[in-house]
Amino acid sequence: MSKREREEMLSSLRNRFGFRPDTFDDYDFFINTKNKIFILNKTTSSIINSYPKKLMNAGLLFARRDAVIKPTSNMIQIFGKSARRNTINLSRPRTRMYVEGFDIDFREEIPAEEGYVILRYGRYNLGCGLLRDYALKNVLPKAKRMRIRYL
Amino acid sequence: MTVFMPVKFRERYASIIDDEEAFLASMNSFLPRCFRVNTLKAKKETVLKKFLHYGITFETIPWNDNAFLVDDVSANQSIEHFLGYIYIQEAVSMIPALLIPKSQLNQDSRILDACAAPGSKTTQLAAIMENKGAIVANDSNFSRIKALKFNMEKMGVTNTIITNYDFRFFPETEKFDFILLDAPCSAEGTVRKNYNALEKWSEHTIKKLSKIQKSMITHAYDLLKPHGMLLYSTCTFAPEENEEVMQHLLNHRKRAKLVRVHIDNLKTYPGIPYWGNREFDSDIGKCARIWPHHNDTGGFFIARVRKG
Repeated sequence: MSKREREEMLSSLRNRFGFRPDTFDDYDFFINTKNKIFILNKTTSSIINSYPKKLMNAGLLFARRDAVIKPTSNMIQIFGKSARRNTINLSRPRTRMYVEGFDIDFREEIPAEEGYVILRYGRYNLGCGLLRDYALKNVLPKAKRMRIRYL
Repeated sequence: MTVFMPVKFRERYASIIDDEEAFLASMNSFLPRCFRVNTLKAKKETVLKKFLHYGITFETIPWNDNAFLVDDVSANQSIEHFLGYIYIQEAVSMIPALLIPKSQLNQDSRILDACAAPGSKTTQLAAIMENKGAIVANDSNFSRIKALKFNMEKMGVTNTIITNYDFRFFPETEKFDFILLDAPCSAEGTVRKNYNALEKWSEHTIKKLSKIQKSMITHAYDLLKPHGMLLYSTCTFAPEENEEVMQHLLNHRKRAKLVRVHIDNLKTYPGIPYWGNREFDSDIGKCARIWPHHNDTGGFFIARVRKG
């Protein structure tokens, strides 16, 4: 990922979520042909060219670049704690719904702008959701969805 | 519960087991389930406090202070499991990573996990390294790489790349401080969790695997940096896949030095001195056999090698 692309992406994430400016200083980013962005530490990024023929994955899938940057739930579970904006605290029943993969309707005022939001339950950073028309679209990958008994 | 156990299998190991009755009883009992706390995402005390709050009972493991025995169904249904705060992993499979001295790890350490899928040991290593340094997680089986990738991402690992080589032909472009070679094996020690593991058991398979393991271990040794450390493990009892593989390494790499395997409070049995008419180097006694009835675990073999 070029320096310009990196700056654009981080700037977009900072504007949207209020991440502290130094949150990603220790990391490198890579983007593949499908516009998937991966994050990895600098020592690891220094060796990826050693395995050009059979490299299957480098680091953690961080976001997808489309019209906007869509962070992954795995990224939010690690870095979400340093976000300051567009975060939504879910109630216990809504957390269960989210983890099971359901969309969530809101009737009350939501303290977030439309678009991708960070979902929390108390101190847990759960993942990413898409807020649109007073509803939270569940973007949790199917493989991660599950029924929760203990919360 | 009764597991299928061929007569030849039982006869084979009668002479090297200290207590055959206890061994058979253990092999026919359920394997306690176990989890470790993923310290990349959570603090141990916080997770345990939550589990107590939920009423999930767990027990400590005397030789691993980050792992706990648990009813896995309960643990699997917790938000902590969803968030990757815990990882369900068989207790003995945590041993190789525990043998890497933390004091020897730093920002520049490079570790190779030669047969990494589904990623239990890789994610444990990443946690021990605190996501610093670099791990290359390799697996030859393309279809298992999906699980490896899923687990790495769920655990929040950012210091690992995944490669898909047949390890015997893994490129020598990089050298490593530590290499884990959890070799493909006949898996005799896994019957407590996989009841039909011995259904296709044969000595022919053991011999075939032994040949592959010998080729892998010399290659792994060659990929070490000077003074680097190789950890070789299997989940099988067959000496052809354990002591004989170590003997092969000592015969073909004269500077390889075995280092004694020891973990406080874990009962181990030394590598055996001979098998059939083959006598092994006395240093092979520094390897460790872990019999199911000694620590109520699966069966395991582990060797630690230092490159001279």
